[in-house]
Amino acid sequence: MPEILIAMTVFLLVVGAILSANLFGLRMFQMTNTKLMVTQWSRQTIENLMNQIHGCNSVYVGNMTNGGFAGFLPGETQQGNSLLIYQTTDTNKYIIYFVNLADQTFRRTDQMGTVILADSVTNTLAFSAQDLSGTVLTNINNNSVIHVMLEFYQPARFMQDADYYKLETSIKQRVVPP
Amino acid sequence: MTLVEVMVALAITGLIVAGIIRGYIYCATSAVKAELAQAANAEAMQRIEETRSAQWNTSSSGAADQLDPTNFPDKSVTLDMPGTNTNGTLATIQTTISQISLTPPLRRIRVDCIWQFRGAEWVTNSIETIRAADQ
Repeated sequence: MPEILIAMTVFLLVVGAILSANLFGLRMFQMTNTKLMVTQWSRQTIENLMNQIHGCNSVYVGNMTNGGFAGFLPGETQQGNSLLIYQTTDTNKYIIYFVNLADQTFRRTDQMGTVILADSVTNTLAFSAQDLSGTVLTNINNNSVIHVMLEFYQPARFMQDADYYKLETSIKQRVVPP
Repeated sequence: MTLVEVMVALAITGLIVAGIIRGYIYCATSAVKAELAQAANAEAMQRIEETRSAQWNTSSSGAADQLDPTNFPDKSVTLDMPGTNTNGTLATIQTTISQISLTPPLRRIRVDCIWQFRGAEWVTNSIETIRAADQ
């Protein structure tokens, strides 16, 4: 009889340890998976954005209102929720990146349509044109740096706490037309 | 099966479980380090882009030179990343600009992003580029 009791106790301990190890592994997998997915997404998105701005014909910061891009006038602070990129001199071919305030998504629009690149974006002024020291410009300038900052709120999910983080970069247009 | 055999089996199982857990922790630590390295790279790249925007004109009609180290002082930044619930890791951005040729005018720009991983290991992400005048 004592043997059975000892065996059952040991068995329970083993089962408990296996369950704990599985739960721990699941939590670690969730954490690592989230980090790697976000890292991959941010690397791809920033790389695309950099390539497009580096090789574009012109780039403008503005605001997306009523489905249309509105650039800033000279004298206005060059900081808004959207970025318009013309790859060539043909203004019918464009790319617009913008933060949709209604559903807090980060989107990309071109002639083909609109795609959602990310959600849970909490800041509205995602784009700005800055000078070399990081000061936001008030005039359109050929030497401006396009600064991108996206702030995310990651809600709590299964086995993962809520979190806030931001993604930030600056990109300078390479070929400035004469 | 005696109690001794059970204890030996348990000890072996414990060693295996400990090894698996250590593997998980190593993966998570590597993911955090990779993320921080990427954030540091992004910060260094940001400074490189800022130096690209500095005017450096050598033509006699409108000579200007903003590509000077004094315009790019050391800067403290925070390497932010998701899933940590912390305030990020502090890093220092250092910029070095050196003339490598007068004809044609060329300058080397080196940006170092220096940060410490978990208070122990110092890591430096460096980016170098060469820039010509009148761009």
